[in-house]
Amino acid sequence: MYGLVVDTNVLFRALVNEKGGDYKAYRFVFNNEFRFYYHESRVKEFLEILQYKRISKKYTFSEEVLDVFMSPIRKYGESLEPEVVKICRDIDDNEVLGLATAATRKSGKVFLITHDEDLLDLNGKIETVEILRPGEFLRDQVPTPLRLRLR
Amino acid sequence: MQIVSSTDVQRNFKKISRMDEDIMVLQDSRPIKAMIHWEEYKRLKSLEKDYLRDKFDRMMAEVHVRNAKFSEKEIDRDVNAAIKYVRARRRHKRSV
Repeated sequence: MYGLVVDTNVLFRALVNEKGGDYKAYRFVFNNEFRFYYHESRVKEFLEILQYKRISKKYTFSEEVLDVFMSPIRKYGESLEPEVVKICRDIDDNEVLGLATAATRKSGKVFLITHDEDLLDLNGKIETVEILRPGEFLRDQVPTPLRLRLR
Repeated sequence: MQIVSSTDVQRNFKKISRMDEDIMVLQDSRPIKAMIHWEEYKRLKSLEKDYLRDKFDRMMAEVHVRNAKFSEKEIDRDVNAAIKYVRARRRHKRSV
């Protein structure tokens, strides 16, 4: 089963917006076709982002919504310790990438879904990790019957 | 349903695992585990997942409607600023 790692920016967009494929990509946490991997540091970063003034004042989501949104990660995802990689300029990007490379030990091939240009630029550098935007992932990697079911 | 002790499970696992009924395992007279057929376990888990997915979709549809006024560009700008801020703060904490 292929692995899936979703970056923080995708998570936020999935929370507030159903356009752009972020929500559909995140929803794969419920599917058996991909194995979802995460690490607590990423969850923590996501929760910190929600506390950022501009975000918390502007966007509408209750604590209950947040619980429901996050619960599938812990329930169906697998927590993994990221490997140490030093490919990106940004330490945090290295951590996301390290999570994806750690996941390849379990799933063989892993899709890292992100909007981060620095990470996207690295696509093709690691054979077992494909770094894609949500739209590209849904278009190119999700089999058509499954994609139709997602509509 | 059969009720067995954890000691029974340790001593007679083979026999107990062949029982057709669901099994309640007691430790110090308190129920601590249930043993059910693997197929039944999968069926229950699948029902639970369907329920959670429906709840998730229902709730998220409401949230998406409430935030629909924000363009993707605007959301991008906001989340990128938030990530930048959170990571800078974390780097600062690491350095002190």
